[in-house]
Amino acid sequence: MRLKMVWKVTVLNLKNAFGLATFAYFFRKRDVRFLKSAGIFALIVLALAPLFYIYLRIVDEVYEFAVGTGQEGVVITMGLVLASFLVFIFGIAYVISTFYFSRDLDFLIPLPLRPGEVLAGKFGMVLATEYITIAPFLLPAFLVYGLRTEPGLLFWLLVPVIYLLVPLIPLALASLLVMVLMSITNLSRKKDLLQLLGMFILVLMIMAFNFLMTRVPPGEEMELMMMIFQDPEGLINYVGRAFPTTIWATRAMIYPLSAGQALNFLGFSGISVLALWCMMWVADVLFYRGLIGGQEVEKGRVLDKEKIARKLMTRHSPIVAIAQREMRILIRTPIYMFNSVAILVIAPLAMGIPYFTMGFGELGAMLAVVDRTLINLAGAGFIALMSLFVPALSSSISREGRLFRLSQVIPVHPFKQLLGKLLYGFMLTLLAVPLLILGAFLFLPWGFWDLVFITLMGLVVSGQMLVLSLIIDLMRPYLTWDNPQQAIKQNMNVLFAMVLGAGLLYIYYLMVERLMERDFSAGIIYVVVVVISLAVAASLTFILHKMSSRRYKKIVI
Amino acid sequence: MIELVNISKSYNRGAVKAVESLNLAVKPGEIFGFLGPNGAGKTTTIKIMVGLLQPDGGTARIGGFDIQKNPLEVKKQIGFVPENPEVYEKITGIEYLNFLGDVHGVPGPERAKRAMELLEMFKLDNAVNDLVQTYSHGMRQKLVLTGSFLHNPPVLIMDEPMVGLDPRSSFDLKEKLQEYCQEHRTVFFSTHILAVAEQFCHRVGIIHQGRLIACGTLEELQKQARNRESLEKIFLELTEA
Ligand SMILES: Nc1ncnc2c1ncn2[C@@H]1O[C@H](COP(=O)(O)OP(=O)(O)OP(=O)(O)O)[C@@H](O)[C@H]1O
Ligand SMILES: [Mg+2]
Repeated sequence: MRLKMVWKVTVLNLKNAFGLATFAYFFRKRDVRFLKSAGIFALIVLALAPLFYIYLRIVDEVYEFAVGTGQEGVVITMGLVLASFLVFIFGIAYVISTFYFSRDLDFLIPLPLRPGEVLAGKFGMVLATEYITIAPFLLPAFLVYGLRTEPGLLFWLLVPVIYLLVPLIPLALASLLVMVLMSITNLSRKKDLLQLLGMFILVLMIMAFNFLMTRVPPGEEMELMMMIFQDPEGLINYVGRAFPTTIWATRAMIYPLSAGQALNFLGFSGISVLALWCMMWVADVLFYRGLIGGQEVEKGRVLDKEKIARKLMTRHSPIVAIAQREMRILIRTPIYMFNSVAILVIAPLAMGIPYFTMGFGELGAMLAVVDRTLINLAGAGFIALMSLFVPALSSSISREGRLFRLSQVIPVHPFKQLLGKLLYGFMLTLLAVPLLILGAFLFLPWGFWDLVFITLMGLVVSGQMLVLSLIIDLMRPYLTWDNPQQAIKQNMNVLFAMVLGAGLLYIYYLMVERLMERDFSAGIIYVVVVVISLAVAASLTFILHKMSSRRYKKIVI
Repeated sequence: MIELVNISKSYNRGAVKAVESLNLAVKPGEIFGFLGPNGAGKTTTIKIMVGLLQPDGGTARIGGFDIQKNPLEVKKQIGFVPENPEVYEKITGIEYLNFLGDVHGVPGPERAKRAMELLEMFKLDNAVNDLVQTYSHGMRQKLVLTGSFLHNPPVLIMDEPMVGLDPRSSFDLKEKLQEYCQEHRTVFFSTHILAVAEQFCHRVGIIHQGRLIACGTLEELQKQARNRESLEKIFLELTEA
């Protein structure tokens, strides 16, 4: 492995991905566009500040609680576990697309580089983005512990070292799994489908693993409590057991200088390096083998002339044609499908895990005391939230990428094109409905007509979310991506839309709460929500209409 | 049919002058060849004509409509073949053609008739049900070409349409274009193949460093140069002066 080569590939990828070169160029030239980029960055930080504050408070409260057990170090374990999980889960989709679907592979592979070197370079690029992802989760943990415990200089020296090491193990693990997955699916004919399934299975396995690790067998709650509070490391061990290496890292950070501490540190960094080495070694064997799988596609049937002609006869309106195009591209791009549909599976599971131990019967009983109007509105809110998280429209212009040119030259008014996208957004939002039906079967108090009503409400509330997402993406689409995953994951618009949309939903929640306190009837509350939603959606649509032509003209790829 | 008046466009805030006060008119029924060395500004000009780029100055009119003021009217009248045949990878050839047919509002039977004619000419009918992802470079080019004829546009604008086509296909394409412009339709295309330009363009324009340095019929160009043997010689002389 020639580290120089790895470094070169990484730098090339990074420059390309983050537009570093353009940024530096604007800066040197004193171009005002530099200020624009900086301004957007500031805006993002501002939008995320409240969330960050809430998280900081939570960490602080955990610390407060842990002081009672004498295990304050648990905040560090918590940060490390959280960061590792994020890296691992996001890593899978990200690694697949960067390793296997980047456009620059056609350029890199003919160069005299070993597979492991190309892969390590790509790995470096993913790693760099992961450092950014985990910073807001990890740094507060270090800060809270460091400021409140005053652990001495060594702790602060270790902070950057551990920070740099943390994502290595989960990301190498994700890469290994992905490489195995890709080289297996490559053997089959239905590659796209298998890859999608594989990704789901991986994620489900992780969740199941997590569930088993944290599950407490019925009747043993007391023993567990004893273990956690009597063992001087009980809490830390309990929190960290899904990722045992995080326990070592915690120990290395919180105990004073000693042989034991050095050993923990060596263990942690040793395994990190080993994981990395293992990955590169496997890459030399497996990477290129799975690679062709990313590109080779099964052929369709050969049609006779009559059939072709018949297929060419079906005519749709431009709006429908555009919605159709969006849908097809989504369904046939495993990585988009994974991003959109996985969230529908993962989100409710992640939200539900703490409750599943209860059993659905108890859950239903718990809900019985909650106001029905609120449950129904929560269902509608869930649909709206899904329209943001899918993410149907906050990346829909970005996803067109360089092909946005085609949208610029077709004779369909940009606003009409955007309406087509909205139609697609609504269709995708409907994916949330099966979840609601499932919920109704399991524990939610809904019958058929309730579900119909909630779905309609949900679509009404989603309208504004979808238009808002579209406006955000239209203002600053990210079109020059190199692999399809970037269009979603490296796209700040997606995050923006989620934060703004969720904020909007929160305002609705506050409003409904006030109305209920004042004893307004359910009918009136529904009407208020619908009227306000439609009004907001209409004004946003007006803005979209105003800006559409100008933006479609201005954007240059 | 096509009128370019004083078109200018620079990149990087004026550092690179890609096109400078370009004036050009192409009449209905004409095949116009747009020549020039690499980086001369051909693609830039074409992008301005179809609305992909905003010019710094000047106006581009097609069929009497200004691309700036009436972009939709212009786009309805043109069939455009870009420099690189980029097509959505994840849809099939048929779906791509149907998409274009839908956005141009071409009725089904008409769409099927035109598409079939070109698909058969390009021998693409065997692959048309496959994902574009499986197409070779030339097959993509053929698909894009087929798509550009679909709505029978009065003006065809093509950026190096022959690149990647095999000899048979580019011969057929030339025939098709010749037949096409007989119905008062206009073809504007850029190319590096001088033999093609010589053979079947009614007029050619040569752009060099963003300026139109020569424009006219072959005879008219011959008068402009000392060396009159072939278009190749004329081209070399004019662009290296
Ligand atoms: N996106 C861009 N940013 C900056 N400069 C550009 C850009 N696109 C083109 N240029 C510059 O504009 C000039 C004209 O380029 P253009 O693509 O129009 O040339 P061309 O005549 O089509 O060349 P070729 O025959 O190679 O296709 C060149 O100097 C090129 O470097
Ligand atoms: Mg060009």
